[in-house]
Amino acid sequence: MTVEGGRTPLKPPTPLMTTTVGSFGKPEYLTKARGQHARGKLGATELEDLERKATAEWIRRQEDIGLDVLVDGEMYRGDMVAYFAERLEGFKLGGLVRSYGNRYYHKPVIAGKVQRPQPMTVSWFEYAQSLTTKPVKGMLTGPYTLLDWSYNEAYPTRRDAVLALAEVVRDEARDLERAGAKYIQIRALREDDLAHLLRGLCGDLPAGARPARRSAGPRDG
Amino acid sequence: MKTTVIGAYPKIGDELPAQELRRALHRHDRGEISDAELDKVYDEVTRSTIGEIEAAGVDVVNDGQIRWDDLLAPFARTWSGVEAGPLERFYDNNTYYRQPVITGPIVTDGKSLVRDYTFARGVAKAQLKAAVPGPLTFATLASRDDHFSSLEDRVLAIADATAREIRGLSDAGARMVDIEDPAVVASPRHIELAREAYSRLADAAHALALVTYFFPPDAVLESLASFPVAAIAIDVRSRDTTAFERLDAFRNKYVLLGVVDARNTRLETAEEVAGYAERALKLVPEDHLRLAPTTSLEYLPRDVARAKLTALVEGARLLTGEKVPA
Repeated sequence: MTVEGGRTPLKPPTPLMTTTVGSFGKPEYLTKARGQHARGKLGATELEDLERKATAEWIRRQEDIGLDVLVDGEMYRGDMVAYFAERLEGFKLGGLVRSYGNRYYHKPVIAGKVQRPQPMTVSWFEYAQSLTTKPVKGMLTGPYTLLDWSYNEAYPTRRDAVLALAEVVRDEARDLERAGAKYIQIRALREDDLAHLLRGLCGDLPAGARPARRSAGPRDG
Repeated sequence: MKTTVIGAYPKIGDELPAQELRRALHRHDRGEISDAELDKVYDEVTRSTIGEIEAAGVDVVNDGQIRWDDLLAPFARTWSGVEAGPLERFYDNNTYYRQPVITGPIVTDGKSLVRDYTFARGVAKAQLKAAVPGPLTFATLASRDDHFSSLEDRVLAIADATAREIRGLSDAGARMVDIEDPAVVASPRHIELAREAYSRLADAAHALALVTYFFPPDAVLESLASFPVAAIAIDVRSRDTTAFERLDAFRNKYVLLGVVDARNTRLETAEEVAGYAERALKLVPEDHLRLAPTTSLEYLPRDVARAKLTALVEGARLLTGEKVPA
């Protein structure tokens, strides 16, 4: 870059960090493997090997691009709610509902008290972090999104349910922090609700602070 | 106490025999069956859906919108000047719709839904109503508009096209038409624009119902009362609402009270349903109250949708039973 007058280009006083908010596309071999696994034609270990392979590829890709804070790409998640619902006590799988066109999925049901028997994302965080010297983000889904994408049969009100979900998200975030995560992203799709929740926890949000949004495509389960 | 349904009904069930339409669409995608064969399956599933709603004891039924991919699809598909664009999440649901893209002046022959309505009319034994997407929802969910210079122009043009569709349905024999317009409660700031749009739909020949859902009507409730429609549908079940204390605003209208939550699998008891109705009856005369699900039952698995209708009807009967002197 040439700058008029021969001055050196302006540099920001602190480097502007770059990162991404979401999951990355799954490579074709993984999409195929997930389908085979769903039909009982591929074992869990074989599937996980491919998920680790795809994770490593995405970590390398992000390093090549030069991003500062990396994500694991969520190669092991079907969607941002079902992954957690499958690992939390109190959730069960509900009947088929349509997401779009001819695509259907089993929507999770909160059928009992929500509890987290063990960490849900820590081992994937540790694996992804072991592949790079750059910081990897912990990636969680917020309590309102967990609630809105599930049926609630167990808690008398939305407030009761969302606070129970907030506790398990908090515990997971603490475990990620203990495992060395410097950054933890909590993904939410409804800013109004999140602002409301955060206001209760830590006062008003600074102007311009917005939770990360993701517009995921419809899925077929 | 009369009952009705809102919007779409689940197109398939959890059991394999109830997934005929899903299989037919897969086979159609692979070129294994023709358009005509797929159409036949659509008709059969529509027939069994109407039968299922009637068997639950619902008084005013619809066709379950089995052919609709999403609320906007029937018009996005047929209107010239509109194309079905990219997928986006439908409000706060984990369900998607194609965003309309406005490419030119909107033109319709007003017959987009006539074939489906006529088929349903030949099947239904109960009173049958039709449904159209609401103009504010259609206009605000468009992802791009290359033609109109303002939201106002877009909304009013869509309202004019919708008015033609309603006349078309009317000519086909429809006396009741639901206008499903969640944007009216989702975007209360556009309420005056919506009212102007509805003045273009008004027609003495048939009863129009402004159907709101997903969000409580609290911010616009009194404004809704001045819309030129015969009935207003509101959700009083799924979120906290002050509506019960304000229902006298709807003095001269029918109220379709959403009392079973169509977005949650927890089943209401007949007593709960009757309880909601009793609260409404303090301010709404009995002959002006109808009980309904909060929105489309398609947000539920089909067996739960059926159970919700049963709870709705049992609640309505419980109420009537209690009111009849011994």
